[in-house]
Amino acid sequence: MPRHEYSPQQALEVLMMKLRARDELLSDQIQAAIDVGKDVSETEPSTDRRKKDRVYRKTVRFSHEEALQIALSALQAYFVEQPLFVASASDNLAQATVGVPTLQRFRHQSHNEDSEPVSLKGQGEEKTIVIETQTETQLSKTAEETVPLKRVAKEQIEEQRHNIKNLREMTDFSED
Amino acid sequence: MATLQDLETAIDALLDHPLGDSQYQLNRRVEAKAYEAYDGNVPGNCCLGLAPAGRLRP
Repeated sequence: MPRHEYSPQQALEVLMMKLRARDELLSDQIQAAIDVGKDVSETEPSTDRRKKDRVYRKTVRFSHEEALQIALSALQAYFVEQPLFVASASDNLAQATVGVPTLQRFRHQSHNEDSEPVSLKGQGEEKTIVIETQTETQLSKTAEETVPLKRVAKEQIEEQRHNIKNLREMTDFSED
Repeated sequence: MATLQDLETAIDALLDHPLGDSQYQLNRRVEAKAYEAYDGNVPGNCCLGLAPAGRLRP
């Protein structure tokens, strides 16, 4: 007996429609990942018994069930893995120390990089992490030169992980 | 049996989650930039994982 009142195609259409309504750019990116399709191997039997069958690679479209899983994997990357990546980077950088010169140096003074005295600070402290969106070589100006990466509460990541798991179960048609 | 309404509720829970807002913003401001950089033949961003491999052009 089927466990769903909807088909894989209906499920995919509802997911993409809601995603498009929420964020068009993300929807376009996920649609593009689906439309790339997949590579399969095809075999063409040889008409000559002395020759081997011809095997070639072909790109085919995903089934609706496969496309649903592709979309959910992409959403998992956005809503679970990216925040985990930010948390991991924040944890690693918190352990990093920053070397601050202990003596003020003037331009005319000769300097030896090896002997410059520095004090190490900041270990165990949360650091600000930003992504540079305005590159050094860029002539055109972007709205913001940097984008901050902010840590998200673990509970929220877990909620999203649960939401993805729930959706994967609801789009599992293997026993229908 | 799961209904279409159940599915819609589950999708809403994911897309409308409070965590979503910051992720949508990050996507708009950084991912879009990565694609733009890739179009300008700066493959570094893609190598850093900012552009999904599925979008790489030959």
